Amino acid sequence: MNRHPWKYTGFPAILLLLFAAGTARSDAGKVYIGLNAEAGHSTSTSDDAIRQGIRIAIDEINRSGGVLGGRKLELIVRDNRAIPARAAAHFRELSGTKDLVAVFCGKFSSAVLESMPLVHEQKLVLLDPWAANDKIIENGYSPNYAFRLSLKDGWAVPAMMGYARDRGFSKVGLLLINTSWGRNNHEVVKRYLAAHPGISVVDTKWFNYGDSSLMPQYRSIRKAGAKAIVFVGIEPEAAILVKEMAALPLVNRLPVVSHWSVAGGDFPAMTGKALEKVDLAFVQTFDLHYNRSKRAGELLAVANRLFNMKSFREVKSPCGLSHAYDLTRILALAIDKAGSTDRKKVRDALEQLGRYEGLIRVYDPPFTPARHEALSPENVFMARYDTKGLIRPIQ
Amino acid sequence: MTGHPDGKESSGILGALCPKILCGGDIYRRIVASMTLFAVCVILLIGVVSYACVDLLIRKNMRLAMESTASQQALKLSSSMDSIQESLSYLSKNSLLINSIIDTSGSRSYIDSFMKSYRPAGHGSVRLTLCDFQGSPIASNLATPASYNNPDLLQQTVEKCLPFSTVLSRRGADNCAWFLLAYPVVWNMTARSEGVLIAEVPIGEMIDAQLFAMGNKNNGTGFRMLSGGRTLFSRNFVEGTGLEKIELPLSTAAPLNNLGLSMQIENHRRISLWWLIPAYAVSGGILLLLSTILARRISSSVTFQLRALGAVAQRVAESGSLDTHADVAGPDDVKALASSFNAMIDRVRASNESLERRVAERTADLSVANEELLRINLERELANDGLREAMNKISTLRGLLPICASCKKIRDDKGYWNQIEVYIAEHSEVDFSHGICPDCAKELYGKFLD
Repeated sequence: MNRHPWKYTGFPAILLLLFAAGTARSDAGKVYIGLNAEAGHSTSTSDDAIRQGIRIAIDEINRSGGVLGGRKLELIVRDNRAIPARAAAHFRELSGTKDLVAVFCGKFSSAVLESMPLVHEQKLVLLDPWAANDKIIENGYSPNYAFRLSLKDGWAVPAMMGYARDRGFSKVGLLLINTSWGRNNHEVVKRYLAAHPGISVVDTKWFNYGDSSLMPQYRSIRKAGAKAIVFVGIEPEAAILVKEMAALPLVNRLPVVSHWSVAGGDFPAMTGKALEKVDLAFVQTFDLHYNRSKRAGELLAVANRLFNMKSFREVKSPCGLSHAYDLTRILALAIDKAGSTDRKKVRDALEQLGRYEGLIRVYDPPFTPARHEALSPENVFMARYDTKGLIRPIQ
Repeated sequence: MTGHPDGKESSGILGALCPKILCGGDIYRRIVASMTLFAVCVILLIGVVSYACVDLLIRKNMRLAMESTASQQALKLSSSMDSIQESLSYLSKNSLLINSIIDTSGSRSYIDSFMKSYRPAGHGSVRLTLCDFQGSPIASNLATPASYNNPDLLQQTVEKCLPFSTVLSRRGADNCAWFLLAYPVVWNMTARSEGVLIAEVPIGEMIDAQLFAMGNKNNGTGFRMLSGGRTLFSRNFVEGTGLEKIELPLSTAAPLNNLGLSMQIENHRRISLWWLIPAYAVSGGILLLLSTILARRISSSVTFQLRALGAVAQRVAESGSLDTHADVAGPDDVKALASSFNAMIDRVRASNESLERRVAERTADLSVANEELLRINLERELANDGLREAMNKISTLRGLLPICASCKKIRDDKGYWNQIEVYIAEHSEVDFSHGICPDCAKELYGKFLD
């Protein structure tokens, strides 16, 4: 009979417990950030840019000691394929993750808006590096758990309409995506027109995701006497419009002033030579392709190490990377300021941060209790694709 | 009605049916009776055969009609179901649906009214619901749409991106079965099913609209639709009571083809042939009347010549005159008979004439012989007269002659016994020559003779 059976079972058990404890301590040390974006969308590059921006920031933060006195940040990515129901399901799942302090959203405002009740029910800090619908921030919840470092429609519409007006297009036609995002832009346009009588909308047409042609709407707008088209949509439908317009005689091609989501995909690749035949300008918030700043160089070094990225010109949606980077850095500051992973404290801390010099701008401060928009209209400018397929601000 | 040639009324159909008439009576009646009886038998046979043929024909036609009806109904139903499926499949590809799945405000704006306004052709009661990938309703034409979180449905439509079908039963009645059709709503940007378009189609209403519209509800046929042996809908269908039953598979496109749909129709309607009875009676009566008339005419035409021949024969019999000839007319056999009769008359007349001629010749011979005989008789009378005179002169040997048994002497009238030779010689012209006969010689002179 074995008088010391623990010799054979105790040691492995102790080793196992030590390993488990070590693992648990390691897991407990991590602070999680979620990304609930449209990775499964075939033409979207905005989610890639957002993920890269977050990872660059996380790498920098973790290399500099992490947050909360040494805890590493880690990104958890979920693909909602731009479907609100999936986004909501992912928000619900992520909200149950221990030490997850915030969740970044993607490009699709609809997917974000669908989850707003859940976000506030779960007290989940929502960080928006792209989705532009005004209602994401102006959601009516108090306390408001949504924070945006990005463009909003309320800024994009004046930029687009102002650009058109400045170019002498006193009559424009609206071509809008038939979603809450498109309708929000429509409302903003109506408000803009009420305040700016120098420009008028002669026709408004809507299209759906998945439409195979936008020519009927285009012809209608052109027939109505529009001198330019103000387009609110994402890259697949914008590419359809550009390619269809490029097939028209030059005199029949109207200038297109677009919201910024045409840059949510590899638009030059999607349109090819057609892009050169169409006068397309779109909204941007940050010039990364031609940025020569020291900070951009530092980021590129990290990006090169992480993604073997030689140049930011490889980034198809540079605003997404820039926004996500700055927002992650701001979040890290908020976590440290909160002193814990408690989401409410982190949310409160986001409103209480001081000045921060980010990649895009100096945030002084990034957010306040009354302002959950980190950028401002001054950050908004018009840009176009140059012959190299890079986004270049219009001077 | 044709009367009997002799003026006697025929005994009619009943008489014709009487075996006595068939076996006896004149030829006319027998022919009429036979033909009438034959006509009756033919009419009965035609009636029976006609009934059987009509019944068979009607059954066959009914079978063909049912097959045709069933084929048409199956085609209608299949087309209707395929029409719904095509409509739903087409609708599921509508960019508005995928747009509404992506658009958070879809359930609160245009898509609800769109769903409410959408009606698959001819199917107003279809319950249409657009669901997300979890089966939660986004928009519907129902006030309170249900959640479709059936694992099989979601597995098929969302995970496999294939259409799905099943049968829903409401309140447990067969006629309350519904088709549930689910189609994936695929977004080309993800190439995945991001939602499900679900339609509940009331089977009864669909079948009513397709098959029983326009007051065609009581046509004597039963109908039911089956799915793998399970009755989904039935109307007037009572298992086992139908005279005819036809089952046809319902060929449909996916996903309804997975349900193994089929339809059965049965016929409860019995085709009554009562109309055949008066029709048959009238036509049979007319046929019988015509056959009787025909029989009489045929019989009359056949027996007319026979009767004429009989009359000629009767005249010949009564008058003995062979100068009359029968008319050679009528049917061939009657003409042959008349010809034979005439030939016979001619032969008899010729025979009579020959006989008379021979009798005349014999009579002439007899007259000569008679005259000779009269002459001879006269001569004999004359001779007899002389003889009579001579006789009167001699006694004649007549009456009883008393002769002696021993000496052979004969006693004369006067009582004297005379030698016989004397007596005969005296009383006749006979003379005797005397001789001795052998016997007497033997007796008298035997000893000398030896």
